[in-house]
Amino acid sequence: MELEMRERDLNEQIEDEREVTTVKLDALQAEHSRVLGEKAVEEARVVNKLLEEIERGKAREEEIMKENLTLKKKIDEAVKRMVRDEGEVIDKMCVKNIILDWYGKLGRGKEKEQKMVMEILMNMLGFSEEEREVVEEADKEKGVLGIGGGMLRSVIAPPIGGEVVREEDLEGENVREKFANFLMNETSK
Amino acid sequence: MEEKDKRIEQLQADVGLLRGKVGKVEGEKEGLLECMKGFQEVSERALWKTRNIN
Repeated sequence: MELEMRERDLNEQIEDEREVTTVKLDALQAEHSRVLGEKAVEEARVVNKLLEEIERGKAREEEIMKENLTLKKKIDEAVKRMVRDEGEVIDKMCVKNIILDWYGKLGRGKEKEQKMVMEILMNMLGFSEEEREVVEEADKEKGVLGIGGGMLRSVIAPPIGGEVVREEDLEGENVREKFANFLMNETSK
Repeated sequence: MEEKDKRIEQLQADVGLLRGKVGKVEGEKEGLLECMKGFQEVSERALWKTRNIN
């Protein structure tokens, strides 16, 4: 009888503990589910954030690439313009020196040097072969490069009427000084 | 490693790569702007020179 009572008590104890354990297990499972849920939400948030950043990055990259393309076009145009301008513009000082040089080569025995000055002028102005031939042909016929300047002189030199001014009559040690004095004399008349 | 963790890792790598690309094009842009600035300075100097010669 006593043994039976003891067995019943033990069975009741076991049943109580089972109930407690079940409750605890349920609570643990609920907690686990909650944590998993929170983790899933956090992961989704991180994924969304990363996807948004990727979208923004792609848009930014595309925008800058477009801007770079525009800048490259502008630079290309600027380079072309610079090359073109450099090719078409002639230094004023250079032209002045050539004219002075041309006048310095006036006189008999200097035809060869005068021809060299003309060569420089033609190179500088970018004469084509055909244009060079025209000048050389005219030189043979009318003496463009010949003594006294020929046709070229008639183009670049002012018409001098009346008295003839000789180079050796002009004051100055070199051609530039002589030319400057010549201009001074002419303008003071 | 869980599938989701792998995905996040991959996305983080993609973001890093993209940041690098953006940095590269930004650097390129900076260089091009410097180049444009240089051209502007040259053309302004040329304009100034032309005005003074004329």
